[in-house]
Amino acid sequence: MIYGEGEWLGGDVGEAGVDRPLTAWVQTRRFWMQVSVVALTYYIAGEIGLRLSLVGHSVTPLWPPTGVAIVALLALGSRTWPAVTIAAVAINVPLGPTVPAALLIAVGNTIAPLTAVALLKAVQFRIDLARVRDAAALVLLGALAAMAISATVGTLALLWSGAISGHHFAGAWSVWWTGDAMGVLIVAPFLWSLAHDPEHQTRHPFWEVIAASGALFVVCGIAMDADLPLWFVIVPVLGVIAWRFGQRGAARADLVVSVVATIVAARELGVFEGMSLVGRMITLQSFNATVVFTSLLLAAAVSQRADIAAVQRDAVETLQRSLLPERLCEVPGLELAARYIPANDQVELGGDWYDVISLRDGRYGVVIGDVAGHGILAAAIMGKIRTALRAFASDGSSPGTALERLNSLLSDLQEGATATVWYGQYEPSSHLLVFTNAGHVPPLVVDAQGAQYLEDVHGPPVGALDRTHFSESCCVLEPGTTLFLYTDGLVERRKRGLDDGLARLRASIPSSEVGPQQTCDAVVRALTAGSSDDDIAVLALRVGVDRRDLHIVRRATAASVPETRHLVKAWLADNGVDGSEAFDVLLATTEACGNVVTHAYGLIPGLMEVTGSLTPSHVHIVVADDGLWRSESMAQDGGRGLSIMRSFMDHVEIVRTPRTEIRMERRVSGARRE
Amino acid sequence: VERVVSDLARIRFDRDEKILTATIAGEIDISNTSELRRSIDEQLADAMTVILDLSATTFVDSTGIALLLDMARRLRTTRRTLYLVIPADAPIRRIAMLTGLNQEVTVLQKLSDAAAPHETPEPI
Repeated sequence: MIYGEGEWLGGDVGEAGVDRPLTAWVQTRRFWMQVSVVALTYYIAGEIGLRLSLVGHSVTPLWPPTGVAIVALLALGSRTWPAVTIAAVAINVPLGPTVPAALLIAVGNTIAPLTAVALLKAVQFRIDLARVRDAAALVLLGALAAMAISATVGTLALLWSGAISGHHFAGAWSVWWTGDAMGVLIVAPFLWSLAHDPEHQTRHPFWEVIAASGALFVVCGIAMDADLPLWFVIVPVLGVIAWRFGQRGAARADLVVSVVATIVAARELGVFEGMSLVGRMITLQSFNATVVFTSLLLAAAVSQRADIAAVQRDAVETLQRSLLPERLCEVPGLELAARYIPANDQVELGGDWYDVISLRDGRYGVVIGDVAGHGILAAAIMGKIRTALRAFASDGSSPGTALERLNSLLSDLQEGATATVWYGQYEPSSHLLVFTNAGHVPPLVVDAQGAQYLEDVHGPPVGALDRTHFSESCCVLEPGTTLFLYTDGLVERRKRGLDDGLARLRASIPSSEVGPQQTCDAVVRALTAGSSDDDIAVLALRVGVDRRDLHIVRRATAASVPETRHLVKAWLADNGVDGSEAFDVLLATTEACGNVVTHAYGLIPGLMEVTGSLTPSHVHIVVADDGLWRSESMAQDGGRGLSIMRSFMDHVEIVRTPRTEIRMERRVSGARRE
Repeated sequence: VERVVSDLARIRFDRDEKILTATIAGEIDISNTSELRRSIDEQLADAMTVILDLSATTFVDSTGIALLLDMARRLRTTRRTLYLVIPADAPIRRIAMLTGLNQEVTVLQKLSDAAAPHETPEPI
């Protein structure tokens, strides 16, 4: 048994042991395949380079293999250097002059691109050449500096083998150096431009590509073929291509222009006709270098600026998106809709906002506001205010207190920012709306009787005065009522007064039978005619006709008792219970709440919860708390409360579970509910 | 003199020699009884007869009843008289009767009855 286990374990280890060499073998195979492909490409590039030579198979103004080597070593890693060495040997040995010299040349051809890659990596070079520093790094480090190595080693090999004499050294070196460098500058960007890069790919219409290519070939023809030296006509075309198509277009155009120029020079045609070898060489290299430097740097500068502009645009969009709620929170029994309309010429941000906040006690905060001013500063202040108000609201602050705290926050910030804010707390169970208006345009309430403005203003805009007291107003939004909130951009027009705007808003708002979404759209369409000088925020909410059961949670303080009673009263009235029946329920509820306030908790009041439900014949009220009821004082003066409850309700029951619930029930005649 | 008691109720005092009439409109509950008590106490001074007109009082809970009973007791110990005015159709009339308020205090149907309260005691 033990032996068997050991064998099994051994087998497992053995398998894992086999696995490792297998992976290594796959990697080795992949490596040598890469080396083969690179070597073959290098060799082909070398053959092409030799076809471009000016004299026989020796003086080559453009040596493409250097570009291939740099691209391959950057993409696959420096460890693929054997590909370069092998291919360089294969090309140079047939060319001579001697085998040792050819091997030395191959060594130089290997060290140069390895150095180039090391230098480029050291400066965090990026192959998209999107920054001016990348273009500069490729020219200075990748091409001019690194290719001096291959030129020096190669020319020394020629000198050593006796192929050239000492006084030809400088000329041979410079031809070698410029050829290798141009290979890097023309071929590497071209190969990189072929790489698929969706991020930097901009779609261009087909006609634009055709027009650019056509223009390029025409000016190439003019530049090369004319009797007159019209080289410079190529520059604007390359400039336009670099500007419109970026580095990818520029790299391809450079390749076309350089190759055409080199072929024309090699065949002594057009402008090169009758020039000496040295003259052709210098002219061609200067031309190629000018073309490549100009378009590489221009394309890099263009793309760098475009990148900056894109970053700015992204930042503005992201900021605007993050400042307004992406989705309004769900409020039971409320239909909600909001719109934000930026000003006409708006590249900049606005300071209008809206918000719906879920509060702890089952209420919901509804906010609309407008920070004075425009632009990124107004938007940033709006973001702060929106967040601060959410925090104050979630703390349980009443609307007035929340705006007072917001006001002192703005005063403390000392930024001179002011904002008009309308903040209301809505309780779905009771439809009670408690609100404070700090200098904001009046919301519109639309019900069966028509549209009326909630004209209460409780103070100046927040931030306007150091210390401001904001009082509150309240109203009950009957089922089916629409509350429409907006910012002044909706009603203020340059040539018309605010009163005119308010009158037009009241005239254009649809009846409350129209849902919030359509209301927002209809009003915005009617008042802005599709454009506005100012940004606009609108928020519409409609109280659903379908009523939920009553649910109120309040801190168990004496001050909460009348408010609770009023909510119960509104709920009863909504359901057709009024008169003495309603009074009895209200009295019993008040007594029950009074008992909780007086007896349930110690010094620190906890919560009391009032729930109500209706059957066709009865109202049920449950008043619950989590208190300890240390003193059994309900029997003392609380006893009067209890006896009132028993007198005015048909059934009263006290349940301790361990939370204490007073369950009461009364027969009613008027309940509308099923 | 008029006082607002915690937004819920409004109380008006009228003084005719030694008769203080306090008219309370609105609601009386646990949240405003102590404030109400203070407001009345401030006005009591040397009034020998105090009439609380509750005709416009729409709500009163057990703490309000306790306040009225306590006030009746305090005035009685100083040989003063308290009358309450609660019309027959007032919403608070039933609770006043159920809690035995009418047994402790003279309850009148209307304020004019207070002109000669002793001749027409409230028959409840």
